[in-house]
Amino acid sequence: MAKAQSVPGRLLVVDDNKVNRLLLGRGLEPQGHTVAFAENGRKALEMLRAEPFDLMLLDIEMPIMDGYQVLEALSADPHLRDFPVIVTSSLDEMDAVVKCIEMGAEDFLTKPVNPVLLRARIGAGLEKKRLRDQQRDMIRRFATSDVADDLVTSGFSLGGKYVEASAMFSDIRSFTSIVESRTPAEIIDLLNTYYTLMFEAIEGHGGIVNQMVGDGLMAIFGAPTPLPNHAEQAVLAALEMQEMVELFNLDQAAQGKQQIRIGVGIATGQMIAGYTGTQNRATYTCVGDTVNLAARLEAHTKAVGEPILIDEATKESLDSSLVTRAQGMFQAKGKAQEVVIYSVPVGQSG
Amino acid sequence: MSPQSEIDMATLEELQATTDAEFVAEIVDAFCEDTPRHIAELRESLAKQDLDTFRRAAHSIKSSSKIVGALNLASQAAELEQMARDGKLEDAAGEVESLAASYESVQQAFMEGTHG
Repeated sequence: MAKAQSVPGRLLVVDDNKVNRLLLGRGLEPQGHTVAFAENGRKALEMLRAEPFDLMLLDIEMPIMDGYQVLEALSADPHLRDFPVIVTSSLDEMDAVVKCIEMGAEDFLTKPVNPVLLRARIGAGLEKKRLRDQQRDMIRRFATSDVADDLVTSGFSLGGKYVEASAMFSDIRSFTSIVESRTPAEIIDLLNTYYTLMFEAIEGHGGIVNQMVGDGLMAIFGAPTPLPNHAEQAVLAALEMQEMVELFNLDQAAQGKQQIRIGVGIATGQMIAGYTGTQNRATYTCVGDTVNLAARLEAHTKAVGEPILIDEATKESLDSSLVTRAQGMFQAKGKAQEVVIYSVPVGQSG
Repeated sequence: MSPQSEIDMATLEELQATTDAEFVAEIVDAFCEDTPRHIAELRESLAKQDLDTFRRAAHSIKSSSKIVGALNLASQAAELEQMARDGKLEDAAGEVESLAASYESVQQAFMEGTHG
């Protein structure tokens, strides 16, 4: 078994008993941890809210505010609900320990604490905290802060709900042939620049990018956080995306590098939103006819030679100053009825 | 009972093995500083029939006594803690004084240990 050699952390030791505080705290300092002390629960919460800590060792039986009350306060606080707590208690308090674990404590140590076990548990606790922080960081990076916040407040409720929103699909034209003609490093570099630009345009208009597959992406406007004028915001984002690609191409041309073109499809209406996947790997997504239509419209941009195609519901929600052009009827694959579609000429944003 | 038997040397030795002698001395100092205060709390809260404070003081004595190996003292404190939990402090006065006497022996044993 690997030795629990932990990265030093900032620990808060909460205990009304000075001998315990000494044993816990001083036993940890040789590990390089920074240890702060609180002699009751109220003081502990004040400290947790005032400065950053990585882990707390919590006594149950304390005056003013006991361990249960601290755990209760933590779970009610969105910023502290995941804060790792190791409960310390004597062997004859096993019922209390069970209650604490049920209330969200991560682990427990029996008193008198064995310093070796203490270090091992702290090491494991800090490692778990580090992984959790990393995971949250990843969620933020890949799912935008809206989704991350929604996840934090709603938890992983995997149930879906109906939302009114606009779905957008975008991808790079002729990407397959680009891939064949360029070096791997160039391709990844191209994709990273492309995604940076697209994210900026989409998030700048209140949308979230919820899927990236190869050179394609899916974005949602209006969920999980409601967005006024989500259809118009989606169209404005699409216009900005096209302009950014043009600027990007000027730069690429100057460097003698590959230029790209993108196609964007947008559809507006009701869709089903929720987290899909498993407890280990989940993503926020929207599904339904509206989403399918947006994907079909994106694919159809190739056929009509227009960079942006939108459905009628999106067009209806637009500000009159935005120019659209009717592109006739469109028979989407798998749909019984033809729908009216419109193109949005590039060069009219902001 | 001889003073030395008040302290379980194995507990102290284990504590020292996992930390160091200086640290053990510091722990014992804190114990000798805190316990008289908790004993005073026991007497005061008993007079006021303040069950919560009485229980916590007994709990504290139990907890730190175990750390320094004062196992007899720890079990006396555990009994008082249970009495407070059951809300039965009628016979507690005698027990408190008996615990206070035990503490004196423990402290004596530590003093002798330090100077011996």
